[in-house]
Amino acid sequence: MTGRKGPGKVCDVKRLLSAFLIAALLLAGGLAPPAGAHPMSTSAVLLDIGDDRVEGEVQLPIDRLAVAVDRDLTRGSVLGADRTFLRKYTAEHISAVGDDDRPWPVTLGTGSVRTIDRTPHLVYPFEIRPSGGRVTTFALRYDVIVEELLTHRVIVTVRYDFDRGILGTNDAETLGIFDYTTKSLRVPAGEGSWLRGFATTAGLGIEHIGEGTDHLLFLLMLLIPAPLVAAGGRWRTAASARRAVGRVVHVVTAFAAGHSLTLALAAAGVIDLPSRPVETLIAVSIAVSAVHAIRPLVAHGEVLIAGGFGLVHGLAFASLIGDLGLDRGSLVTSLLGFNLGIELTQLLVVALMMPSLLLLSRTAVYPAFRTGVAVIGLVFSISWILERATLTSSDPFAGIQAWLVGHPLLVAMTVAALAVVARRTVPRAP
Amino acid sequence: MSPVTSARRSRQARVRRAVVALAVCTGLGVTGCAAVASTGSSAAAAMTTRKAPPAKVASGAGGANTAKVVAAADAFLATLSDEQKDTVLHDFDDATKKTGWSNFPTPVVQRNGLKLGDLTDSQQAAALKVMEAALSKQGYEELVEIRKADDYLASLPGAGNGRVNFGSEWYYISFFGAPSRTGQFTVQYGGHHAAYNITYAGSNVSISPTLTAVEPMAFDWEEKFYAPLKDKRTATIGAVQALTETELASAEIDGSFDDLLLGPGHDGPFPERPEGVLVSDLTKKQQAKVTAMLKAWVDDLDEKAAARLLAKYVSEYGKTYIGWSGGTTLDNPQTYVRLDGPSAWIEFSNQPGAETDGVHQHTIFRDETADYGWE
Repeated sequence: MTGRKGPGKVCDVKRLLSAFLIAALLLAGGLAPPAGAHPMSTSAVLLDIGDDRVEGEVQLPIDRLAVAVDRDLTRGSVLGADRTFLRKYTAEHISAVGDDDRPWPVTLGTGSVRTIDRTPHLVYPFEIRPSGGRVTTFALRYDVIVEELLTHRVIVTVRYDFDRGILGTNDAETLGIFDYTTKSLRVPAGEGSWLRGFATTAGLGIEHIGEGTDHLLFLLMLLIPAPLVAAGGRWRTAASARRAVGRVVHVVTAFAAGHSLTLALAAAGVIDLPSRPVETLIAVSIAVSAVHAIRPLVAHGEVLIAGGFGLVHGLAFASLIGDLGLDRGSLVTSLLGFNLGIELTQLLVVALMMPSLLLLSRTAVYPAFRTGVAVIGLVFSISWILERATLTSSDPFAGIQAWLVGHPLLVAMTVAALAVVARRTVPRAP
Repeated sequence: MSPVTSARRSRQARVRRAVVALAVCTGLGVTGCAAVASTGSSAAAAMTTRKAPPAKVASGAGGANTAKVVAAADAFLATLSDEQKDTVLHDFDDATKKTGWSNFPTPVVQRNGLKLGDLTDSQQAAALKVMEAALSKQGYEELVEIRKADDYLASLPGAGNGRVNFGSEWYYISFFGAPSRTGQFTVQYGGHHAAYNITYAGSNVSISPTLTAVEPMAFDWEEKFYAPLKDKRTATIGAVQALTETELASAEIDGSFDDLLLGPGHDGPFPERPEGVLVSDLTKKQQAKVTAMLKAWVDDLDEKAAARLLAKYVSEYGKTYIGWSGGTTLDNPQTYVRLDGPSAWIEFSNQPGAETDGVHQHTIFRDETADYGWE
């Protein structure tokens, strides 16, 4: 299992959220884990399905294990005096059998003690090697603790299976529960295809740029001046629509090239930057592009800004790769899928906004519109810069931003309506 | 006025018009969205039809005071708004009947129906009248005392660590199937440490599954002393301790139990082979102790039906077993006692203290032939 990247705090919050999600799912499914007044005292089995092996982990609540083996166990003793006995006991009660009835060897790793839901658990990593070399559907047989403590339950979760589109804790799939009547579960594997994983990563890319207000705002700031040409330190209407479209293509391509490069490098571990300065730089990138939208900073500045700051945005996408658990195996496919999702979303934004902007840019309201939107972008970005540099504790515009991002069609339709109305009632720009 | 300024004025006017148009567009867009959202939620709140299927009652013992319960239920329903009725009434076979009860406090398991704490005083009184009608005097007292125990827990500093809700307001009531003297319907009442599923089908009634539990075993509340479930504790420990050494040895159930085997969310399967000693093999005195144990649960139900059911369960002693695991004393947190007959099923499980020191109990009563009523 590879370690997860990303800042600790974000990771913890996400893990907590996913824990809540899993709990909610279990409850909804009527598989209520005994939690609440008591701390959770179920066991857990987590599975990561790979191509040639299954890795995983068993989490055994120490107080329940003590009842099952009829020994006084403590945090210390499970790794000390009782270590050999417990390892043997656990190993004896886990096995795997392939579809052809051939046993698959299960190897337990070194035990450790971890507090999960406020209860100390003995945790063993394990590895299952398929008899035929490739992982196919198999039966997992398990009755640790539950062979003796008949009211105990063991929740089995598939944490990773790329070919079935399960990539991280967010989409972890509860496979079932071992209890006093269920001691064998069928683990589906080798039934999906890499396309499924690819589609899922693309979906994640779409979702994450779709929710990333800062990335979208940056793109919007670059698109606003795209139909114009800089002349003498001011924006003027481009001579032809064709030329304007060409400039949009340049901007989008430069942004895509920039963030793809750093996304690949960071995901491959070539570069590794802390996330806070990256986030702050992204906010700065929006400020710069907003200023540029008001007054051109340099000729063809938007292409330079798109490419240069695109490198920074790529670093932020890369930190998501770790958070989403895309960094286990199949990295190239994951990266391609994730990036494809990002590009598709960008093209969608361009497709939604650009016709209206092109139309508007040829009317006299455009300077006012462009300046207005750029000023809003500038205000948002300054607020982000302050928040991300920890100068302020919260962002007062978070609510508005969430609403705007949550209603993309409404925003696009409003701009389109404005463009149509302006085109009919306002004279063309000089 | 020069033609230039006139042209500029008219352009300014047009720009102004455009801005107004934009504002109107945005406004319409926002209103449209809000309208869509509200349509969605009102559609979700639409009433569903509720049917009470005719019951094939083979295993009923009769004697149910159905008319009295229906009258109390109708009186309670009459105090409710349409929206509240929609929340409290479900189809008889609604799947939430089996998932919406537990020994755990909310929100660990969300309950069905209306929360007593959300009702007016008169509505709450009417709701409790339904339970009072369904239960015997001792059964209803126990229900009230389990709620008081939760008030007591809520009063403890740091109770539940803010993660769970304690207190007598967190109990719920709901109906599955419309209350009727002839059709089948279930009254479901519950919250932390309480879950009553009482199903009526004409003259028959089933109290299966009903979970009664309490923490702590004894407490003072508002200058009074309470010990809910005392009868169940005394009778169960009495029955198991009446067994001889040899009987105890053969009555031991395989495995350990840290909670109810057929508790919330686990409606089966009932074990294929009953474990323990056969009750009909015991002496008269010992059998009387087992009957006292059975009575502690069955007698929670209204007196007449309870007497009929008890007679039926006692008549099945030739196929009824009593067994134990972990321990047979009240202070042992591992103590687990089970009665397993062709119909009756009782589990008594000691629990280590969760919010207080000392053990507390989870118990369940089921009737294997009438779990949640009849097919």
